[in-house]
Amino acid sequence: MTDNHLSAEDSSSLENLLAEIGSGREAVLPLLQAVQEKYGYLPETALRWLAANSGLPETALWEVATFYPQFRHCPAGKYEIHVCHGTACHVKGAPRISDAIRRYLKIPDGADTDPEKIFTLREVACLGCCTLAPAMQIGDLTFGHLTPASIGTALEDFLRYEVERTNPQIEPEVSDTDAEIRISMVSCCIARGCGEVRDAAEEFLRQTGVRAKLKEVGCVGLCYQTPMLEIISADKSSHLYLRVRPEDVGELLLRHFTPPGLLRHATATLAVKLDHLLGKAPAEEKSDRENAPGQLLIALEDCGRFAPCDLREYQSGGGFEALRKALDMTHAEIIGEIGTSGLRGRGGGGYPTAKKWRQVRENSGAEKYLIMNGDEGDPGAFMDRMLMESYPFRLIEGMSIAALAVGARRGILYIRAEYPLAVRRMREALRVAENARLLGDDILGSQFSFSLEIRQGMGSFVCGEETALISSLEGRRGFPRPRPPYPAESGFRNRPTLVNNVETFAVIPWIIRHGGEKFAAVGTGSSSGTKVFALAGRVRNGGLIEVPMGISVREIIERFGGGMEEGHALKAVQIGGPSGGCLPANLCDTPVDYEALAGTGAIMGSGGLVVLDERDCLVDLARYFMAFICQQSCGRCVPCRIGTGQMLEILEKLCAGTAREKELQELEKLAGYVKDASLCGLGQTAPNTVLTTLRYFREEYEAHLRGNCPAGRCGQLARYFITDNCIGCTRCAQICPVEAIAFTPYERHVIDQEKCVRCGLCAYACQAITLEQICRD
Amino acid sequence: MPGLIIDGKPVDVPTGATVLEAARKLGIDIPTLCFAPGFEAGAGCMVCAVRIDGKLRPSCATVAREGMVVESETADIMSARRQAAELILRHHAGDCEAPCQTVFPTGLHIPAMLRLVAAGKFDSALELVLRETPLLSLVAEVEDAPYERACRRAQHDGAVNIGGIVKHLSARENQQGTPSAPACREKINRKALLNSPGATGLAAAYFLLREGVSCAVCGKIQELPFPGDMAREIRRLEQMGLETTVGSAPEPDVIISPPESNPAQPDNVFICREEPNLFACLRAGRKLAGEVLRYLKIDAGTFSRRRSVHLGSISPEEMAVFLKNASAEARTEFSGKTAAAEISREAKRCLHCDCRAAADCRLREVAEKLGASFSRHGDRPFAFAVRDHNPRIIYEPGKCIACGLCEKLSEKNGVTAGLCLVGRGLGIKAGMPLDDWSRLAQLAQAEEYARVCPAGALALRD
Repeated sequence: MTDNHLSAEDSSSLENLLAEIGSGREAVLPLLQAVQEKYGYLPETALRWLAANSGLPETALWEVATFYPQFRHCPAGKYEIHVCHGTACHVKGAPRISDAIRRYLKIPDGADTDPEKIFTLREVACLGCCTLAPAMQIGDLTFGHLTPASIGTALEDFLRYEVERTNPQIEPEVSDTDAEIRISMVSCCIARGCGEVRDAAEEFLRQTGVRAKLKEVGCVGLCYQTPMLEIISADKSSHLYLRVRPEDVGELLLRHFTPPGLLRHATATLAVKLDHLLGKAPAEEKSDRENAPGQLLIALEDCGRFAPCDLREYQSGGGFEALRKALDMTHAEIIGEIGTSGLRGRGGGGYPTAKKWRQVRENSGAEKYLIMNGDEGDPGAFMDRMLMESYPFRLIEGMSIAALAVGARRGILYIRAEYPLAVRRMREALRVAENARLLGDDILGSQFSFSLEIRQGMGSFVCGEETALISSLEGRRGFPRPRPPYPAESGFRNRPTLVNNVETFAVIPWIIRHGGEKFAAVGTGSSSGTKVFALAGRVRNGGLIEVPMGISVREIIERFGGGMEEGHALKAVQIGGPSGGCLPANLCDTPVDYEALAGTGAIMGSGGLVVLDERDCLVDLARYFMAFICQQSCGRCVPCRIGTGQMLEILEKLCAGTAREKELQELEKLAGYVKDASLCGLGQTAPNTVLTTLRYFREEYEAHLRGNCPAGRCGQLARYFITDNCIGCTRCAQICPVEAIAFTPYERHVIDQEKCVRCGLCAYACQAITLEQICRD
Repeated sequence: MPGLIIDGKPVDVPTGATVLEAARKLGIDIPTLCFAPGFEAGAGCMVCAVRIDGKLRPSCATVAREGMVVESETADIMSARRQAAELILRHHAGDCEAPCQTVFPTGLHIPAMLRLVAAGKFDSALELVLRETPLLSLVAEVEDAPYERACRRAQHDGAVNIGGIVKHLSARENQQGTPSAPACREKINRKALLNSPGATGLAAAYFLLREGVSCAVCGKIQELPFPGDMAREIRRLEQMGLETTVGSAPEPDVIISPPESNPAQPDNVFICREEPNLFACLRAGRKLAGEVLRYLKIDAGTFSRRRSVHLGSISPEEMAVFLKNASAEARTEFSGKTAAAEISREAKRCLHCDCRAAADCRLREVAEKLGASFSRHGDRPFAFAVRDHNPRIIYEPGKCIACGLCEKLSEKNGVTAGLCLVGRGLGIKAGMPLDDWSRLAQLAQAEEYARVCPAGALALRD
């Protein structure tokens, strides 16, 4: 394509897009997404063509194209590097990773692409791989536990992988045996090498001719134990192996399967190869899941057992029974059952689900809509992604029951653009469900008709707010609207609309199958049932956990997180992402309960739990969240648009040690104002981290006023220093990206503090380099 | 017909009416910025916030409901509205008044004067100067014209020779023989007595006379230590109605006196301090006149000095923006014989730092009314910029407050490639689709856009 006009080929493919997607206002976002998919960015010529041929005003295309952060306006490099700047990654040093990539690829300041146009660097809110922190994603490969020093290797590995890639995607044959090899395959496990383990297992089956079903299952929640291999032998006994390496796979499988005679030769070769490794493969283990009886699985029911998109399996475990049962109930009975369960919206606010459903039901109007809010954008939370990747049918069932109860015939799944696998699995599940007539007209022989479609977000956190989400669906920028009217009265297309979070829909089938009372029996009086948390940060075992409400935060850390990292003490827990707050260690006995948490100034939020220790600076954390909020503010209302910007300015000054007492007071005043006056939930909860850290860790703010960061995190308040242990090995000088250390062999090295950018690379390279506080006290 | 209660007062409004409409029906004044009748509510600026159920809500976008209890005039709501205005002002990159005007002791609109001079309209320029400048003959004689130091062009290639131009106008007036007086309001039945006035007192008299208050001098007018044709200035004041011959006026409403002469001070005695510096005297005199007018309960809305946002120091890029519309010539010094054409040429060096919308800017008005602080601390997040592609309308993006009214106007008028909000978050601003600013030139309905903009970001060229 040239700069000035569109080739005939391009315009005909755009014509096809237009014919396929449509050209109404609601088509704006999907059309632009399709254009970006095709070109990698939004070329001006394509936008002009769209404006001229779709009948859409240029203003409409442009306001949307400039609002959503994922839209690009200049060509990108061949590959996009997404560096996760989620909470867990931030805590573990994501900014240094970004800086290191910039330096390694020589990306100029202000640009995002290297001069050779191979890589484009993007900082994303959260990849949802918090247990791998700090992490980055290139294409479908995720790299975890990065250090500034490992960037070069990772990028070289990626390029080598791209060259060698032979596209080995062969669908495993369904065999007529009960034997199964289960490997969890959701985004974060894939990042930990489950893909390689799967390939190894596939190779084993191909070489040996062993008859077993190779099954990719949904999330098992035990992120720190993956890659995990579960072998179900022909006698249906289950054998679980944790932290499997690809080279172990053959041996493990040979323990449970005997290859047929024909291929003895191949097996023999394999066995010889395996001789070297014998004894190194992991031993069979009992799942921690069984070891931790406190974990009651409702949202994560059947965790790790089913192939996500296999309908037969889902049904074999009771899938769609709840829908069948609901079809025999009146809508009042369904809503009544949900009411009995005491279920509250799992998106963060905790609004009683039955109350919301009743409002939608009672609003007259032939046309009603149902929306699943899958725009999980909290840095530090990934339970919705996991639910969509692992249990697509359960979500369809939950939504269908809700639609039946409120009287909606059409539903939309709004899914975050950063979750391509979730979109793929949901799309596949919708196709399967439609074919099985579980969606569409006259479902299961009843009068009930319900259809679902998928829409994707475009990287805008505020679209997780229900009215902003609706604006986005209507083809506008994601501006929230003042409430009332609530979506239950007038939402999508000005019709009554039910918007619920993914996790809320995920527990609906369970409640209908087991009855509301059974759900209500779990948890506390006002907060019933269970809650899924993404546990990350300074704990030994991060991962997804489902716990009964009412359990204390400390118990979660001890029992599910395996305690703190060796040698470090709990300082605080950040709960609920940017809308949540920080619980100090002495309040960690607070039960997980909407009201109890609100009492501390934090909120339940969507369920991110990031554990912090003495190495973490809470002023820096507050600054991090405020920077996130500023980037994500839609810009509609002044308190959020400008107020948070001003708060960030003060927090940045604090982290740089240049703030004054007066500004700290100003920060507190602004926090109160932004909370009080913002239009939507994003702004109203934005100051929570600042307010809770000011409440519980004020002395840390005051230390920053004196130019001192007790945790040594705030780069500008600390410097690297070479101790007397230096033997002059020059490793630090070689690795320093800015030549702040002179190359002087056998002499004690010195860091030029003027040049030093505090990337910490030298400290990774040499033990003799330590971080030292600059203290003005 | 939902009935609601605002600040304790019940009111019924038609179904669908907003809380703002209900309040206005009750005569409760709620300021607005991003709201304009006939357009969908903005719900953005939050200067119209009210409290409903404990929560601050934009009254422009909240539909009145039966039984709603609304608070509007409490101290905490006023403080929230003020906070909103202050946040907006902080991000408003422009000057309401040019620095020279702010520094000039009586707030003379110097850029307007320079525009008249540049256009060769010397008489109108003189009229403008006389309206705001007492003791012009003395002002013209002040060495080095201190207000020139504030001229933004001083940072670049020398200030505009404003002092020379004022001097020229004064000399011009001198040549006319009898001094001219500014237009004064019709006399009202209020009388001020000036006890031995000096420059401060005379300046106060000048403004009081202009506003229709009768003034008389008792005692002797002080000898002023400043050069200039004092006799001419007294004649001018007499022309405006100053009585200098009466010994003492019968029953004055106010007395303006030097500090030492009146130890016991009744309410109506105003102390008048003479300063060693002429400009300080003028400033004090104007301030004193304002106090007297307020005491006499005379509506002089146009009199009080308005508050102004200031750009502060500017970057070289911003300087380039300012220089674009000014003559590139270097500063000229004048002599008595300098031709009028040359003086006009010098006036063309003015950077026009003032805001075109300064007089009818809703943002300025609302912020003043709310008592917001106009001072900015810390760095300015946006640069001053000008988009002047259109022959009739000028767009200054730094001043945009993202109210979205221009976008709504585009939509209403079916302009598919008109102004719209571009971007998100802190960076959201009015812009053109595809960043194609050349099309701003063809933008019709320039007047409508200028009228709808509440912050002077869009303003008519002249």
